[in-house]
Amino acid sequence: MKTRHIILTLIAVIILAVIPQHADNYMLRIATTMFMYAILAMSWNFIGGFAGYPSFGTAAFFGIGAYAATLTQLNGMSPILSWIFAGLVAGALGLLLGLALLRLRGHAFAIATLIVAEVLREIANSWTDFTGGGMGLNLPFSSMTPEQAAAYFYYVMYVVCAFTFLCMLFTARSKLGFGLRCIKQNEDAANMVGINTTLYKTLGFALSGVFAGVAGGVYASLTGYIEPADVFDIMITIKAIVMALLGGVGTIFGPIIGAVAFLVIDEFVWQNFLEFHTGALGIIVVLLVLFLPLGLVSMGRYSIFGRRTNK
Amino acid sequence: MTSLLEIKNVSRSFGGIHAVQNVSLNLEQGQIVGLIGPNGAGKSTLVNVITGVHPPQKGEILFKGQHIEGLKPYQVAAKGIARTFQVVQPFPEMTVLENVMAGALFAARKSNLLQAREAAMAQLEFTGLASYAHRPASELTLAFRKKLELAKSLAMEPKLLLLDEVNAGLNSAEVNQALELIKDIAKQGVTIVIIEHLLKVVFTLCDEIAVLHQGQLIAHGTPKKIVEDPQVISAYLGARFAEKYGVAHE
Amino acid sequence: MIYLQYLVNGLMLGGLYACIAAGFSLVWGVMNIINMMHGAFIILGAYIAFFSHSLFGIHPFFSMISAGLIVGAFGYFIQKGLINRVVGKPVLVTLTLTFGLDMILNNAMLAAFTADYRKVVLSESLGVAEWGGVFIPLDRAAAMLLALLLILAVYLVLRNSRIGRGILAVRCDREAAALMGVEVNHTYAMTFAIGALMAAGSGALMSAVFPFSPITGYLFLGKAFIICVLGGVGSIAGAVAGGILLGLIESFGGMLLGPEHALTLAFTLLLLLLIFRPRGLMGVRGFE
Repeated sequence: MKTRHIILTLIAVIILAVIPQHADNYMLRIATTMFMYAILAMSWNFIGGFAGYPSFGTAAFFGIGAYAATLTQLNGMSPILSWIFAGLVAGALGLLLGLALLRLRGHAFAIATLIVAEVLREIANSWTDFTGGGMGLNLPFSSMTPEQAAAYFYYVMYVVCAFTFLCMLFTARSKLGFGLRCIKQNEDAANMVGINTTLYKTLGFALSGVFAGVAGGVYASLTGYIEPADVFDIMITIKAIVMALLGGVGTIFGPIIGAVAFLVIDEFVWQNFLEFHTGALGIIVVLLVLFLPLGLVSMGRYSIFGRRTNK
Repeated sequence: MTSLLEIKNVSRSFGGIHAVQNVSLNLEQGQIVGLIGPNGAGKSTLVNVITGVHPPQKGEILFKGQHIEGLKPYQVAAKGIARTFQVVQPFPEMTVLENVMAGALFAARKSNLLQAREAAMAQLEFTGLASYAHRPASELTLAFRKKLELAKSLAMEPKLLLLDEVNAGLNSAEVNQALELIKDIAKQGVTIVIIEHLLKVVFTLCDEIAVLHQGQLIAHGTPKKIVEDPQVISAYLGARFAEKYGVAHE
Repeated sequence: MIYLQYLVNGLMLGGLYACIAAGFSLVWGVMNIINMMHGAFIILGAYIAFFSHSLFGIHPFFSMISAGLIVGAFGYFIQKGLINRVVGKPVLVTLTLTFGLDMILNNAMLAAFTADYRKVVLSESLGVAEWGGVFIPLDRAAAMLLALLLILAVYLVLRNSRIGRGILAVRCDREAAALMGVEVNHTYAMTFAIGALMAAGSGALMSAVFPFSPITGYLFLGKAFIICVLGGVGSIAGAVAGGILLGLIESFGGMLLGPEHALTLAFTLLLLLLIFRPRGLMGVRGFE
């Protein structure tokens, strides 16, 4: 990694660390949301970007993480442990689903993962005894003031985001990352060259689950109340994918850049076109796909964040 | 001493097509064996069966005395069998170096990317691709892509190398280059099976030749024997060719 | 006897479903594109029928044709102008593009028509026939017959017209078709237009049978998808088989589990099918 990348990253890290002392609750919440979506975009990147398997199941992991964290907290677990547990549960789901679904490719895989999220939502909706059904679940009351909570969750999401980024960086440079790239380029050749593609893909999918699950858990604590339509919302997945596309699929900095850029645009649209919110996002998506298919990191030969794991 | 590869009564069908029927063949270490026959005879299928792409429906395959039928391709690769594809299969957007590293990293089980890189560079030197190391594989011409396939397979440190029509699409100068390369590989102790239509290649290079026709092994022996085999002549070679080559080899 | 009623209900539903899915399946099979806008096209067709009726008194069954043509033309231009640029690109790209377009169309419909549920209330309903203890609402039955008629019409066009055979040729082998003089881009656009036409046509038929709203669009998309996996992608016969099968599943499943779980049941079934028989019950013509 070039020196200038490291320096820029450190500067960003420091700036982000001191923001809470200078920003109001509203800004903090936006920033927290930004970190959360960066996590989701990065988590998607493991399976969609590195391995090239278009997963539409991010919301499934997010939602299951949210429920896992909530239910354990309601049974006495400390929040931080519950978030870790949420990640593990989501990762386990990724492992199981991976074994079942990763033999599918392209469309079939995309739709299958999408359906999983829908099915999970329905189950959460119906299994009222366990999940509170459509009425949702309230988390244990927190004694923090709104200001404290805003700063606290800012830091939590920040740490999780940084951790996710480091994991992604590490994976990209590891044998696993190399293998996933080979799988994306030519899965048959990858098999012939000695890669256990089933294992690698499943690990990639599990990793994509873990981080999304943790994000879901933290989100649950952050909002204090979860319901199926909210945490299994397909728009969570779509936004994560659009951010990865916007920044650059399969790149290291792409998802984060995409998340930031997307949320900036989103704020603008929200302020000015409330009624056409979804439609405006749709227009952005269309323009993105047609004119910037490689994402923002591909713009300009001397872009600051130009490091890539693959094309 | 056990043969390097023992193919015993292997059969494989697809739907109603018996691509490989009851083929038995032994390969000894250090040989260069040619696999010839008309199109559709089952040569590529046999390679696919050996490498685990299509498990045999009947029969066994032993490599260095161990059963490998039913193993997945990546497992077969790790055992020491590498193959090239008739239609080259690179990782198009990865660099030439990275393509070869893949072979070293996974099949040859190098412990980290650095070691894989070193091993890959060595193979690039050997095949004459070193100056293209950092170009994307998709930028190479066909002849160089074939060399890349070869380099990638060699990086896998195979004991047995299966070359599937490695000369298809090459002009005669390129073919000669390829021949020299294959001879160098054989000198390193790698056993080679070469599927070829270019008979001059097969007859100059190979110690033994196996002939497939409609999925069955119809002849197996030295080039001289093959050329005089009436079944082979009628199925594939044609009388004129047999005459010309039979006389030349005498 | 009650089972016979469920059977008949399922069959009537199935006919409509077949029409919904046939266009979707064709686009998928010929162009390898899953059109996420398909549900919105159906709803758009329903709105055209609804307003044709409330403003001009036109019966929805006639609107099947007008809605089909309007939305079909719309589909033609969307494909030619936008979607054509991504045909052949990875699934992620095509799926996201049509999803984005769907977001735009849905938002537009919501803004124009609000999310209120609508339904065409016919002043002269055809009534309900009774046959051996089974009740057959004749409007539904007529809708089903017209849906099947539309499918038949499209099928005949595909088999016998020049453009139809061009579409089938491209489905089999795009390059060969191009070499034979088939103008591939126009063919793609026509395929998409036919898909849109069938969607809007069935939407118009349904406007008299089910209440609809922009937010129900995705439900139809889901059903179309399930039908394709059940019946095989790319063939009209498969869509009919799958549609009828889904109609029966929903009818009997609703009986067993309650209607609100019907879609979940169908989705779960679909998931299992994808895992264990990804080529569907009847295989795939064209792409997967």
